[in-house]
Amino acid sequence: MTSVWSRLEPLLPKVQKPAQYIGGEWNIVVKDPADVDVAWLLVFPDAYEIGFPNQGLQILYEILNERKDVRAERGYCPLPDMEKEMRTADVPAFSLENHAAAGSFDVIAFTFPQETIYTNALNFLDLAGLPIRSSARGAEHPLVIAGGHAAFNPEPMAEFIDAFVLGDGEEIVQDITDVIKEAKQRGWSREQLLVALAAVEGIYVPSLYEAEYLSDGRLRGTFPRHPAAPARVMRCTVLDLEAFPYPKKPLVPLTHVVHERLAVEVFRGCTRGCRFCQAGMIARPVRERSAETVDRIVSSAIEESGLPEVGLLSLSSADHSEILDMVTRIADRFEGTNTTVSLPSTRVDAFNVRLADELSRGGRRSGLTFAPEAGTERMRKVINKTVSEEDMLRTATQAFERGWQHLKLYFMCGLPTERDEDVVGIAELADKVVMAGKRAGRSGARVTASCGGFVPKPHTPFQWCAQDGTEEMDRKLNLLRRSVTSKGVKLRAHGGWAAQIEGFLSRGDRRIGAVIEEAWRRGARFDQWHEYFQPSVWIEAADACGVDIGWYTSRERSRREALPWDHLFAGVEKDWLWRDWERAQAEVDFEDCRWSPCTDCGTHALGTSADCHDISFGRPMSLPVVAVSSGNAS
Amino acid sequence: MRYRVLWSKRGKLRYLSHHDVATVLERSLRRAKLPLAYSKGFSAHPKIAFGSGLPVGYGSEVELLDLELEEDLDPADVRDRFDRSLPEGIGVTSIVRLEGKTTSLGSTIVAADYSIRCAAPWLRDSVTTFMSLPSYEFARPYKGSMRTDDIRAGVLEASAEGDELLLRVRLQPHATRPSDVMKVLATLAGETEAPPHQVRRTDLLEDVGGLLRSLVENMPQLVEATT
Repeated sequence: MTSVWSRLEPLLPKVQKPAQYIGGEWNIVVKDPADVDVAWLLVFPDAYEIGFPNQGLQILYEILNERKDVRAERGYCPLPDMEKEMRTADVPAFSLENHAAAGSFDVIAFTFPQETIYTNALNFLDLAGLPIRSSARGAEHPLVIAGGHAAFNPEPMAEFIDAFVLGDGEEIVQDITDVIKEAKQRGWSREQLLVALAAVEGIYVPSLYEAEYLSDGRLRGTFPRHPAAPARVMRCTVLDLEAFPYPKKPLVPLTHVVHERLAVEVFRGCTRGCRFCQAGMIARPVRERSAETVDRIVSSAIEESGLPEVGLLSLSSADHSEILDMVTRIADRFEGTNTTVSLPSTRVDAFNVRLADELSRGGRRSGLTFAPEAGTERMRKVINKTVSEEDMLRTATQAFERGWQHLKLYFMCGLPTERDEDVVGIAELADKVVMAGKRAGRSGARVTASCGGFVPKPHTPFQWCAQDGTEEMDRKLNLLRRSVTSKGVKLRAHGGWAAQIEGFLSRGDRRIGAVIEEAWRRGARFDQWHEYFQPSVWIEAADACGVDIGWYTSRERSRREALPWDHLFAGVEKDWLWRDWERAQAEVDFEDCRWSPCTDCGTHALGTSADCHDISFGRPMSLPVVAVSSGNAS
Repeated sequence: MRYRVLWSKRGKLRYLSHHDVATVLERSLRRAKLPLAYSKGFSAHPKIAFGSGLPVGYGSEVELLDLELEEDLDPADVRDRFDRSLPEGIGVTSIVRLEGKTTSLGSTIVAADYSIRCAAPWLRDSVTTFMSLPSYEFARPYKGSMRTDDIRAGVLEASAEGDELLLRVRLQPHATRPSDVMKVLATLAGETEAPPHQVRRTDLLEDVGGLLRSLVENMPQLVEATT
């Protein structure tokens, strides 16, 4: 391995924000390539400023580098100005630790947090000087793998990625390392390596499967074509988060990134059962860390990093069974130290206001966010986000009374069964929240209502539904804009083609890989950035490949239709999802199984005990609540 | 207690911006558990005052900053703890206590010396031509538009030997950038753009009764005066 630094450095004065290409961060681990057996390149296929804060990769970075026989380095995508310079000067994609060429690693591991990142992954492979197609790569090339939430429908990227990891990475990276080490020692061919990987629970090797289609174009099914390939690939699940108390030595950036805070996960998974939410379906069951462990991780990682802010993260942090104790403990620890604590939570109830109160002791009350998600109670029953209008207004009133001036509300537009009155309901609810603020004595009460276009995701009860087309979405968003009457409401609405392409990639099958490649060849990059996303490139690429985007997005699927991800078990059974889709259409909601009876979603098949709730440090969970009836949150 | 810190910026970390460096230093002080003083108020900021900002890509052995700690600690101890907490590429050379009234670094530093490495064969001739000119109008980006100044007046001394150019430039009323001087030298040599070059700052100067004096060489005297 040789460093590309001497060839890279002359390019740095020519590009914007050169510090993103230099590495050297605090707690970086730089090992001599001669000292290790297996070299990992962990790649977040987006710009450094977006990818650096990703918690998943940072945890795997620490775990892998704790092994003496492994070095794990990091890679990100160069911005377009740097890509141009690199291509002109023939500088390959590189890592930040040794500035080693990406092609010199044993394994390149991408994380796919969402689907609009795919063209960046192809571009990274191409910049690395590697064939982008899996079939064109051999044992002389790095193994290319991918994980993250979007990997739960791997089919659109099946032609490019050698193996996908479904689920939690903490344990499986050890198995993958061992298999690669053996492959190197024994001189296995690429196919031998892939067959060995397919035997590891949680790994899906797409080349060992065949997708078959019906004459009308629908999928017949995805079938193993090799004895080593399981008919159904199970997600890998870390049951005991207490065994992985990371971050221990968090990487600290030297230049601007989007989240400059210490992120500590307080629990993983969520069983609230919001039907639109993929994360809440594919990361079950809930696995908590104890307040004591979180406090210990936070205090030592703050000392190790010097970061001024800690975020207590999860899918819904206010739901942790010990959250008030945890937050109080950590707020006490940092009182008067210029270290702030944040808890991204959007729960609509008084308890959330109480927590926010605790976290902003004596400090700023800048913004408080709630996610009612839909404008009417009917619509909220459809998506199983059961918040009554009364709850919302009472919670808002409490927040205004406790000193907040500005509330943010999150909504979605284009949900299944949505009627115009549901869209107008978003504006009405935002207006009523402003009115509640005025009644609570805040004459300057303001609400920012953000409304995103709904994108149906695999492994959710809405995986069968039709997504609104761009014209319908635009019509609804215009209706919404016209319906806002209060001057205190600021509306941010976005839908259109970005949601369309995301939907296409989310529920696509193997055949759309050609469109991804064609779009990338026509210049698609950074598709989730407003300034770089070009819908016309995607439309033309789909045309050139003879693929109808609308067939994938706006077509409702029937119960019997085979879905491209049916052979992958993410933790919730398809039958349960179908029953839940029927419940949605009948406007029937139900409670979180943490504090109500089990609905038998199928998660216990992942090796958890029959009762999923016993696994969080050995204690049954209960919903942390305080009385909401009084006007005073504390 | 207030301290003056002599620090350096080298290697890959030369590509950090001034703003990046300020954040890195603040976080390093927190890691070192040095009791940094903060301003009062809603958005408390640490009491660190920089001398002259160093442009992205420039190295330096002679950067200065003043900082305030809540306690009176031994400067050698502060230096060691601070230095150990810094990422590779930024280092603390020495620290002295500041006592009594001192003028801010920003207004004290009036000029700087630079060493520029550049392999252009015309370097020496171009420097001679440039220094013989009475003035030279140069347009540079300034707050979103272009601003034209006499760049010749900003250059106090210039000499080239081999592939090294030594420059002494004014930092007041505005900083004259060595990279801009390189552009002018290239233009005088008939080139369309400045050739690749590496810039290192080698000294910071104050004005003492009309004479320029090195702030860096005078750091040790401050140590003796206060310990």
